[in-house]
This record gives sequence, structure tokens and C-alpha cells, in this order.
Amino acid sequence: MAASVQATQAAAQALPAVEKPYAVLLLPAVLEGVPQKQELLLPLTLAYLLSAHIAFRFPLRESALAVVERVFDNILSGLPKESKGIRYQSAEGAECASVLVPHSSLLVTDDRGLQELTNCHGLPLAVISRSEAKSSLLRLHNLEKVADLGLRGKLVSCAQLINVQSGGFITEGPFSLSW
Amino acid sequence: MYILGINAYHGDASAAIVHDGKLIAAAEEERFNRKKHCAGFPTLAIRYCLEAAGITAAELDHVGISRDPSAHLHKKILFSITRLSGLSGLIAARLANAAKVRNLREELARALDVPAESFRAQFHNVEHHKAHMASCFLVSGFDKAAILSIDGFGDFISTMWGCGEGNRIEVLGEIEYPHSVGIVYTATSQYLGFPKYGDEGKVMGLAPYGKPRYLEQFRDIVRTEPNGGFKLNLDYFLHHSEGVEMSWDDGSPTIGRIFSDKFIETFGPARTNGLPLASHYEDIAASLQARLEEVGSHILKQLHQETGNKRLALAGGVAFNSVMNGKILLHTPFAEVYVQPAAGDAGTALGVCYWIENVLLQRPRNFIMGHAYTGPEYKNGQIERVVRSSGLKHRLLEDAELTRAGAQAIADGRIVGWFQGRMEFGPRALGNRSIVVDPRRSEMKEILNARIKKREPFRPFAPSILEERVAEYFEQTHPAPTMLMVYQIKPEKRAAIPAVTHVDGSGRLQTVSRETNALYYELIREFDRITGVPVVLNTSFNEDEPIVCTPDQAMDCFQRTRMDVLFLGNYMVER
Repeated sequence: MAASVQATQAAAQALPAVEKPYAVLLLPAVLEGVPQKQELLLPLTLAYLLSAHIAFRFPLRESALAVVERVFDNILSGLPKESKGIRYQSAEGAECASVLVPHSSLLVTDDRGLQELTNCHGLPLAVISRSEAKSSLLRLHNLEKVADLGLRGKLVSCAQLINVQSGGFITEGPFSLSW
Repeated sequence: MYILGINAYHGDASAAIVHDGKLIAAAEEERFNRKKHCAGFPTLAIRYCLEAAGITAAELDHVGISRDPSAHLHKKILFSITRLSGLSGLIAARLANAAKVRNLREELARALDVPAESFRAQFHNVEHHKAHMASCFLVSGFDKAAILSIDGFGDFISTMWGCGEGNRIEVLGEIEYPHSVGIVYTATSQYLGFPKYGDEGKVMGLAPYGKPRYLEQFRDIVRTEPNGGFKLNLDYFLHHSEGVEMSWDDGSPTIGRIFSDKFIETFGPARTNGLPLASHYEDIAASLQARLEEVGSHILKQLHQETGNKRLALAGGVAFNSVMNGKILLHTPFAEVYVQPAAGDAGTALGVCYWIENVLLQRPRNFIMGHAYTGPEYKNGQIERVVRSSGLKHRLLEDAELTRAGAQAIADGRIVGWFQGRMEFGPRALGNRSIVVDPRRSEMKEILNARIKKREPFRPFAPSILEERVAEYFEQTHPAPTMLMVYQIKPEKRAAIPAVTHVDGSGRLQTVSRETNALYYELIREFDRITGVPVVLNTSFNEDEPIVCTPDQAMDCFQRTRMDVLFLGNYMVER
């Protein structure tokens, strides 16, 4: 993803701001080929949940579309569709990302390479990563820049839930979820 | 290769150890720390397993736990945020702040008081229901079978089904939180005044006293779906909305109220524990049991259709519902059923071992779990110290004398403590940590309750019967070596064994073979020689506590209660 980072830097100056705030879901897997269902489940879930507060742009290659659609169907089955929309951005990965990211209000990604760059720009960032035990973690950066308190709260809730579940075993009660 | 399997932070914490595919030892933590259904970390059970294998933790090759917190993670997040809107932040904060979170490697090191760096083992998380499925199929001896795992919840799933073939387990379907027949049974048990973890078995025993007058209401509570699945009418429950207070400290687990006010609107006031059991409550228990059996049949018929297999491997807490199990062969196309003796969460420790051994590592299957005797055992030399220090009258007998004297004592109407060989894995005493009495004497049930067990009078006691004589006494003959099947006793035999005949003419039998427990088999055979009845009443060796594990505990229970005679290894001890 180094190429996309460079492209993002280069394009950041050139593009005009988009009027309405939006978030970007940037997943290397859907920009590079056909992703695995497993690697999409958590990012798409997060995008859906956060899209209740902010519209999402989701750049992807056409070859990834069918898998993405299937995973979304699986996730959304039986759920209320509270969303401001997740718009697929059909374009060549690196170029599209470079256009979208600099003007976004939030970036959700599993590409750790973007973290350094967006930190420099002060862009709010939610990075999905894997712990040593191969379980998922969600790290939040520049959260104070998220103006929508509802969105900020949901990001925190998601991060806490994911990180507690992934970090190990809850060894003592009481707690309220019988998982 | 040594593999250690662990069930921790769940009810019935346990450990199991496998060496080159053979099960060396398996036991529940409660037997060692004496806390019923202990839900903490099974430190003592792990120590026992290592000792039985003759190794240190540093020599383990693989360690696994039957929990995978990252399994179905997206579903957990979706559920929390969308269904518990407004509460999500609170719950997240609570999970983060109130609960202690540890990882397995560190926890094992802490428990065994060794540095984490000393482990060479690889650590694994095995999803809860996959561990259940492995725990029954991979040790069943079936090369190919349908598999059903059904319980309250584990890793966000309540029910998982699939098929097994050789070293492969394929998941064909699952039912997610908050839908669970295990939860329905627990909630109804709470409503009926049985709130403790594991009290569901009491309600199963109560059910035959009632009539299923509320079956339609329970059909509304649990709604079957065309694909073999089911959904709960969540109006009757709290676990999905308010969250249920659960405490999984190192002691016995406790669960907050699960049923909602809708339950009370439908069925009337909940019974307070200790109040008399009106017929109304018996009818509710009967209706619940009837609906469980309907739902069980519904799932299994679909499973049979999907797999085309007549063999079934069954696990999960609901698989302790021996009444349902007994009807599987009557009401579904399955012809053979294997229920692993520790079918509940304790058994997932075993499942973890075999998931790693056979599925992950693809090593050949070479073990059949034909019995439950995988716990500690004590030699006569160790027992002698306990016997002598008791100051009680005792004799050392040869095996043949032992079974003859035991059988005679039973036939004479005495209450016999029978402590032999390796302790059982799973909740049933199967002739090694048992109290045994004469089933021909109808008064025995009351005597046992008055003198030792102190159980609710409606609860039945179970028969152990010589395997080859089952057809004489029972309507079904499929082997039930782990006491997890209830069959109807033949009407003409019920009067012969009244102390083990339940109110509906049924009995939760243990079929005993010489191959699996020679000494217990001989005891029953001697009893048959004396009385002409190849059946004894078998109940667990305990008094409102976990089943005894050591000779000291057995002696303590013997002296504390009004048992008549104790056979402790080859020692016969009398007051």
C-alpha cells in the first residue's frame, strides 16, 4: 500500500473539498483483488454501524464487488437499515484513495501504512489490526477531531467492545453479556 | 506429543490431556476445589492432568482453550450496538473496566507458578461449539456421523450442527445469540424456583408429574423455522435487552433473572424457591420438556436429511437432557447415538485436545472414549492411611469377596458407599464414586433422601443394569453407558424395581459392561445372583457438594452422613 500513500500525499493539495462530510473505508484487500470474506466482516460491520452518523465512501475494484455484496447481505440480514449510505467508489484503487482520503472526516482502514500519514494530517483514524494472537483490535487516532459526538461515542464503544473481546478472556464477573 | 485442553471462565471449568492421541486424564475443577460447577481457571485439574501424564507444563506441545473471543466478533459488535442502543457505551465500559481480562499463556503461567517463557507449547483458541462437536464426534468411534452441539451459549452461538467424516468436521448450520433452547430451559427453571447453575436437571425430573397444558404457549416462546432452526419470542426474556447479570468468579457461577414480566403475565407469579410445587408449576415443567423434545426432533430430522447419516454424535449442556436423548431413537431417523459422558462445558476441554490433534494437526484418530473413568485413582496403600485414621472397623478383601460383600450389603437394604478406581469425568457417578442401594425396596428413595442426599422428593434415582439384561427391563436397548438416556421401564418390571422407576414409568439407566467397569459389573452380577435382579440403584457419592474425589473426602462424607457401609478400594469399612 506504499504506492497509495504516496499518491495520497501528492493528490492532497490538488483536490477541492467535498461539501458534505464523509468517511472513507479503505481496505487494501478490495483494491488489490478478490478479498476473503473473513477479512471483510469486521470492517464492513464497522462501516455500517458508523454510517448511521456519517456517509461512507468505499473504493473498491469491480472484481471485489460480488464478495463485498455477499458479506454486506450477511451482515445486514435482519438489522434496521439506519445508514446515511455507503457509496462504492468504482475506480483504480490507489488513485481513488488518493482523491478521497485527504478530504474525508474519518478514515477507517486496516492498512497500518496509512496511520503515519493521516496522523500528520490530523485526520481522525480508526485502524483495524491484528494482535499477536491473531485477534482483531481497533485503534483510534485524532478522535478529538470528530465533531459529531454520536459518532465519537460509537467509535469508542466499538473500540472497547472489540478490544476487550480480542484482548483475552474475561476472567471475573459480574458482567452483563452472556457470550 | 502432549496436548492440554482447558475449559475456563465458563461453568464446569475442566482440563484434559492427550498423549499421541490417547486420552490420559480429564477432570473438572470442582472435584478438586470443592466448589460446585466452578467457573474459574482449572488450576488444580491442570495440575492433576500433568501429574497423570508424568510431565511438566514445559513439556506440553500444544495448549488450547474452548473459547475464541474473536469468533463471531462482528456479530457481537452488531448486536451490542444495534440491539442495546443507548446501553452500548455502558456495556462496553463495563466490559472494559469491571471485568478482568487475561490471556491464556499468562494465565497458565500464573496458575502453575512458572514463567510464561518456559512454555514451548503453541497456544490455540478453539471456538466453543467446535470444541463440543470435536468432544463427541472425534472420540465416538464413528467414522462418519451427524453432529449436534446444543447449549446455552458459547462464543455467541447456542446451537451448531454439522457432519464429521474421518478427521474433518464441517459446520452446516448454527443459531446465534440471543436464540437458545438452553436459555429457555434455564429461564423456565428460574421461574419455577430453581435458580442455581445446573438446576435444569431438576425441572426435567419434575416434568413427568405434570401435563403439557401450556405447550402452545411454549410453541410461541420457541418458534421452529423450516430450515431446522428456531427463534425465540424475545418478549419472554431479558438477556437480549437488559443483559443478564452473570458472575463467573472463581467460585460457583451465578446467573441473574432471564425471564421477563411477559413470562409472569402468561404463566402467573413465579414460584419462590422452597414453596410447594403446585400442579400448575408441574404442568409448566411438562410443557417446557415437551417443547424441548419437539424442537430437538425438529433440528435432528433436518440434520439427518442434510447428512443422510443414521449415526449421531451429541454434545452441549442440553445433551444432559436424558429424557430428550432417550426419545431420539424413537422420534428421529437416527439409529445410533453417542453422547460423550461430559457432554456439557467440561467436555470442551476434551474437545479442544482432539480438535488440535485430529483437525488442526491432521493426526489419525486412534481413540474411542468408551467410558468416563479418566480422573484420579488411589491405591490400597493410600487408602489404608485414611481407613486406619478413621478408627472405624474395617477389613481388606480380595476383589471377589469385595463384590460379594457389597452385593450382600445392598441386598440387605444397607446404604453402600462404593469408591473404586478412577473418578468419573462428567456429572454422573458411574460406579466408581457411587452410593449404591437396593432398587427393589420402594422406601429406599425416601431413606436415601432422609439420610444423605436431601434432594427434592420428586427427583428420581437412577438404575445401573447389566448391559446384556437391558431388554428384560427396558423398552429400548441402545447402550447407555454414561447414564444420559431415559427409557421406559417395561410395565411388568416396574414393581420389581420401584426405587428407580420414575412416576411416568421411566428410568435414566446406566448400562454396565464388563469391558468398561469390571468391578462394578461384578457387583451387580453378584446382586443378581442373590436377588434375581440385575439392577442396582446408583446415585452420586456426595452430600450437596461435588462428587467426592479422594478417599479422605469419601470417608468424610461417610462419617458425616448415615451411610451404612463403605467400600473404599478393597477396604470394607463399617460403623
